Amino acid sequence: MHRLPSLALIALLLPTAALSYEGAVHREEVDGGVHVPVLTKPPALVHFEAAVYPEEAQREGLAGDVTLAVTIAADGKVADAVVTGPAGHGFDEAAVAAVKQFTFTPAEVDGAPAPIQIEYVYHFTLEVPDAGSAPPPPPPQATLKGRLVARGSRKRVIAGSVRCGNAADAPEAVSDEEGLFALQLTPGPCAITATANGFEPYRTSEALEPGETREVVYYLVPKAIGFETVVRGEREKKEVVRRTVERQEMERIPGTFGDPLRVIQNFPGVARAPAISGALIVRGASPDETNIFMDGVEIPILYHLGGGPSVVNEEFLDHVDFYPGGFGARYGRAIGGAVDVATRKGASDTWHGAAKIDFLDSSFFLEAPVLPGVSVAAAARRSYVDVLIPLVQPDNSITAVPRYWDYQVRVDWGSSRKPVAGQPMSSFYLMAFGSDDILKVLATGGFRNRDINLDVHTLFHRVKGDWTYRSGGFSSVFAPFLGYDLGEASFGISKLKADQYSIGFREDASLEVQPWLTARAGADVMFEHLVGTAELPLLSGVQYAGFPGAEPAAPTQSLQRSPNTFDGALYLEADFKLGQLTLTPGVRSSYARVYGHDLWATEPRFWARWQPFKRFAIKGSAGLYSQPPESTDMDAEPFGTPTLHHEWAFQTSVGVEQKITDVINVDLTGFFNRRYDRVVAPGLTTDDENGLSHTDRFGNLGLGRAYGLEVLLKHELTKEFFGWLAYTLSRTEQRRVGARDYRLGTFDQTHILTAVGSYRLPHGWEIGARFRYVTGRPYAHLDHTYDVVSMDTTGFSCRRQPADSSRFPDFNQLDVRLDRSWLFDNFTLSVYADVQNVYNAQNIETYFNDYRCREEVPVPGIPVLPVLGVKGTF
Amino acid sequence: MGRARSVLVAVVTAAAAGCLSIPDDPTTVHDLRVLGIATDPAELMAPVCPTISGGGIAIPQEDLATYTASVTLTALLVDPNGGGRPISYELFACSSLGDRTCEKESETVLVTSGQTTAGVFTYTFRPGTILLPNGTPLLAQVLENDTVYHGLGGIRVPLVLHVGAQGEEIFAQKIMLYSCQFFADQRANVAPALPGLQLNGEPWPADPGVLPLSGRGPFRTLPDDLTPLEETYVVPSIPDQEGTVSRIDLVESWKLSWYTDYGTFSSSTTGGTDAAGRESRHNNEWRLPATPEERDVTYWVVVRDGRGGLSWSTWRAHYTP
Repeated sequence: MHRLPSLALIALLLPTAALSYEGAVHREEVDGGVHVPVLTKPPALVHFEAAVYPEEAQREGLAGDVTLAVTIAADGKVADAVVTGPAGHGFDEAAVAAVKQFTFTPAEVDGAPAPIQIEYVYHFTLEVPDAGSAPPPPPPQATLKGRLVARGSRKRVIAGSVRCGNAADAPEAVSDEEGLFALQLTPGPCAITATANGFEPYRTSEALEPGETREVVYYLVPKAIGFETVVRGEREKKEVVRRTVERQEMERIPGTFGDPLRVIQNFPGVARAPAISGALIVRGASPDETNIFMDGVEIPILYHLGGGPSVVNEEFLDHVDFYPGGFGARYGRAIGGAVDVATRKGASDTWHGAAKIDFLDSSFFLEAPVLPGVSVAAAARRSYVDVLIPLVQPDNSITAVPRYWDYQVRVDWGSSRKPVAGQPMSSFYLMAFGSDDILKVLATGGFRNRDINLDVHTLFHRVKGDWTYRSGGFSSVFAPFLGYDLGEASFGISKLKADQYSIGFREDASLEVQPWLTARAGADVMFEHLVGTAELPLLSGVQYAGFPGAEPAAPTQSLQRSPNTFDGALYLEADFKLGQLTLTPGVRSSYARVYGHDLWATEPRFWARWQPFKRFAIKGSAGLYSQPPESTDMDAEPFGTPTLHHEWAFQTSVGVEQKITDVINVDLTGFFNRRYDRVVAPGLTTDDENGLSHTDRFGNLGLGRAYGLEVLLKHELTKEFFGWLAYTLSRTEQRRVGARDYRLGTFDQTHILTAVGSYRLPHGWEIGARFRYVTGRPYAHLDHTYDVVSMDTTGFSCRRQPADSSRFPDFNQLDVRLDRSWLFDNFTLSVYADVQNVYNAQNIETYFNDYRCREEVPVPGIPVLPVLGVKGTF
Repeated sequence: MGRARSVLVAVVTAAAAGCLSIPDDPTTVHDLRVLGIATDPAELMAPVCPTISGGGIAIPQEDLATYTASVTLTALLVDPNGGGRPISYELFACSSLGDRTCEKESETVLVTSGQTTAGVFTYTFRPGTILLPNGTPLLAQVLENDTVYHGLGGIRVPLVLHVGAQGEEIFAQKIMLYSCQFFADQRANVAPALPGLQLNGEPWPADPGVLPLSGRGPFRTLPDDLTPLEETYVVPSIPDQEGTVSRIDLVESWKLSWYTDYGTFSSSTTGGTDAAGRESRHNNEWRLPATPEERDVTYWVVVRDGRGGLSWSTWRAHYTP
């Protein structure tokens, strides 16, 4: 018996963890004026070399599959072939010898030939030949046409193989960018095998009549449900620390209430915020010192109601960049860190969508190509806890009704066009997004002495445009925006309202002047018109000298303020690549006019990166960062202090990066930040010309410093696993100008340890866990030896131990998440359970004390808290 | 936007506090307490008001007699489980409102000291004549220390009564107000007085009457209408950017503090007008312990007018389960 070898070609692409395309193969990616390479054409096999069937295996009647990592050079020749899935029995050596003689059409990156690495499976099968010479197959007289689609997501499977039979010369077709294939074959029964990298082989049988053309759709089952990554090249890193999280990672982090953006709180450098608060406390900076951007446009909040779900649907996210400090000159108006949430464009292959339900809210997401080259994506979410609470609330109690919703809509055009070498490229998108939060607290009637009727409403809307232009080594992103923000609160006869209208633009340009010199420049301009109105009683202590403890009936006043704020900045950076060393000086210069006062700031910044080895780099940065005061704080006296100026920070850091394997890397960063001219209250006390002393409401009198070490050991997203271990050792201190000593910052946490991981199990299961251990923040316990009471206010004064004398107990918590997905032809159904505080750790969040300040009562944090959710995607 | 978030945090914090069991209810008096200190008169107002350019007042040298008048200080010391034990006292006058225990010796004067027992403590003196150890008049030093208002809210002299018995110690501060007639229609404050109290809708005679009570209740209390007694008054504003001081007309909104030596009250303080402009009502309810017993019960209600005026009334009952 003569056994012949056969093979199946499974071509797949991409370095490291990439698995499949999302829709169109091409997507413009420009990050801050820095272009990110995109695969525009996969390689295709043009010369196949048959392997010599190993004698030993043939003798024993063995078959086998050998998986190889094949490196294809830019000329299409095979530069290297390494066995990654051996079969033994001589198959491995035979496969390597054959594959090294393959020839491909070169892969193209950004329209130009480029080296690439693919996964290739060489199948060795035995078949019994007919006795005597086999007659040639009859000419194909039937056509099998169709499309390969990923089961559950309906994404088109590109470069998949469809074969009729297992013979070496069996008819075969390869699916194109739309997943379409056309197979000419001999009429009659045919064993069809459809294969593609990352998918289970699909087998069926077809029996075609002579002359028949049959159309089919084959749904291939992914080897790993859910995880898919986007082709993207490595973005050059200028900053010492930029933590980037992909959407797939964000969706699976336990303990985040199913909210991807909370992943930021698990990175080193971020202190644990109390309870479920979403406050970002970055390297000791207060939350309002870290700016949040969405596609480069500032947004006022990241989480609904201060601690609820994030304001962006998770399906809209592409990735999040988090800078704990030392960010580039394109970002400003912050002396802490920066978070830039990047959205993604809609699909260009077909309709896709997702719908999600949990105990808090429901959301949907839809994306589709609407015209050639035009795609649309839209999402919305609405809470329903405001409907459920009144149903379970007992009568005569306080009703707190929170409600929130958000939306995002994005239209892209021009981005799916394939680049042509030497031709300029433009892509555009228009995006509208917004968020709305309401909290009503109502308690009336009964034996109650005071009715409670509190209404708080905050919202924001943004409309943003984006024009990305590329030509050769020059790229530019121009992004204008319009915005509207509202904050209003009413309680009783008092009403506060602030309407803010904003307009602005951002321009980021990059030019590769020489291979060793890239220059970046840009502008960041905005104008805000705030209309603030208030109806409230005259303010005791501010407008008149109220007697301590007095709560008189005071006349109501109407106040209105309309401050305008203009803030325009220009920036310049240049990368000097001197061999292994890259030096990047930069400067950001701004002019602001706030409440009629001119404020100037110039912020020089510098980064350096030395990469002596491919997997090792040393980096450092130093620079000045400024933040203008709030316009409302610059109001005329007695409400504000018009003479305020910028707050400042001098930030430095130094670190090392080591790539341990292709998917495991470690990053160590030491940092020192000094903050000064911070706005604090009260301000300066001075004597006026009459000799009367006067104290300003606010003053630039705050000083702060933070220093420490951050460690991140990360396993990148692969087919089965991702995770990281983050550790921060830090100290945050603050004082006021004139005070002798620094004292610990409010959220100083010496040790912060976070371990996060998620592992994909067979049959659609996935399990993840997050463990946190955080040492306590400073707390001054009561120090009671006698009562101190005011007869006029009835209030007792609490005497406390020295400010830095003790700390809260250490915090520890384990959160676990379990996902189960079911794949159907046209959709995927997922159910998840996210359980916070699995072992019910009794963490103390704060203390309340009795009225005489004699005893403290600890307030525990959240107990075991399960969140269940259901999500369908198609 | 940040301030709206602060409101949300405050609401959540208040809700959390309501869910916790905090020991030692403020309405239950079980150890040594100073429930009230009153000064008579509540306010000494000079008819002349020298002002300082830029916004502020000076001590009216032309009418020092008003400021040097006698003041009677009366304190309600309650010690239901003290068994009549001796209570030591010291009365201080100092120059800074923030110095709640009169610690700063250079600006503190010991007015009197001695021993007393639970009940009403009374002392008459002339705070306006007190000189600090360095010879500076106390009122002048208080005015100099008022760097915020420069006397526009009156010269607020802190008096601190320090009492102690067998390890229990209390520093109780009471402000004595010296003011001047900035506006022609300004009048000195008259101390408030509770007109009467109702229990379950029926008049409750004050001490020395003893009301028999029985059963599980509810025992709902409500003072007689206070609105006709709440005075209107005028205060000067803080100067604006041009230095102009304008008049602000206010209406007193009395606050009542409720105490008992057995059981609790549902509200420790009623009344006052909040930042939302809403005046609180004075509904209250006396609640029995889980296993009540027959005994005499004493109730105190301290009324404050928010201008330094203070008084109290006492009621007694005999409770039978």
